[in-house]
Amino acid sequence: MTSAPQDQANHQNQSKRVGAPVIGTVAGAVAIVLVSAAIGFAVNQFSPRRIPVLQLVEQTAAGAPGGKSTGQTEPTIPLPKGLTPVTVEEAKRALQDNNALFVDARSPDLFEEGHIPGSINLPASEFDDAFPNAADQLEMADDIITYCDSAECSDAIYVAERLLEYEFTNTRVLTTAWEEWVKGGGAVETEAAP
Amino acid sequence: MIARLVAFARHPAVGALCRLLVGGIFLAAGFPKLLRPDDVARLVAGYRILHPDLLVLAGVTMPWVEVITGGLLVLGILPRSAALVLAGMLVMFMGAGMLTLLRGLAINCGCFFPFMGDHALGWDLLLRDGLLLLLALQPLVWPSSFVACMRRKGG
Repeated sequence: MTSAPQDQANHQNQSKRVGAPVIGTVAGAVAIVLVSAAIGFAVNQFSPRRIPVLQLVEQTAAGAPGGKSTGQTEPTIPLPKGLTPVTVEEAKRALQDNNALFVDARSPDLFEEGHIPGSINLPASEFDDAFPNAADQLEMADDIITYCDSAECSDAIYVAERLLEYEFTNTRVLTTAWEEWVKGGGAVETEAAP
Repeated sequence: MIARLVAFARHPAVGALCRLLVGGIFLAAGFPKLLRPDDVARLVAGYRILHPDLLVLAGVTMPWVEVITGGLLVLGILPRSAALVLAGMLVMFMGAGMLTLLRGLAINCGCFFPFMGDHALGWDLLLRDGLLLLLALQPLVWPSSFVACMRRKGG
């Protein structure tokens, strides 16, 4: 039989044994996150695709009366080197003047549902397979404009980068994408599934 | 029955399998993103949850947390801490996914890059994250490492 002070001491020892690994685990987890984040920051500084940390983000006032914010945010994440953005208005003019080839980087399903008139479909996930069929049209184009679904997708950027690799230096990106094209009243063409 | 299940769950081979699966998936998802922080920031922006200032922060740090933590878990170095970080990330992904689906936003998961076969965010992906979370709990509760295995064999 143990005395009350002995029981209390045993209980305290047990608590210490349980508490120590928990604190160690949490401290280890915090250390892993901090070290990983520090490496991320360091690599970002020297990366060719460096993005400015804690950059300010502009509130888009598109469509808002009196220039007031709509509450929607458009992050000013820069495009990779060599790529320039195109606005919806510029894209509309290019379509009107017929001096640009639009490249839809979305999936074939979404392409069939609707796309910018005259676009060709070059899905980011199937670029290598689809590129040979599109090469002739791309070579004839004065200007190439890639687009994907929304401002947050990176398929159009990926396709534009791949086109740059093939020396299509006339490639630009519709950064606000299909979503804003439709909202902005851009023309839409639909194609029945084969 | 429960005792058998617990004995099975805490078996070192099951632990190694869980660590390889969870750590391996995070390694595979994070590795291609390491040098593309801008694309990651855009993917995170799609969820429309984080303050825009934090998007860049997420883009710069998240892939490195995924890769380093996944690597540690696979190798069995600080397995309990690594499992805690990955379990926390899975809970965060599930919470963000649920919020996004409930708001009716149709976006890509962002788990993998689109050109690696990323899928549209759906309840099936949340279920997958839930299963991964279960697997991540194994090394959190019964941590095992290669060092411990070697010691056991030697001893």
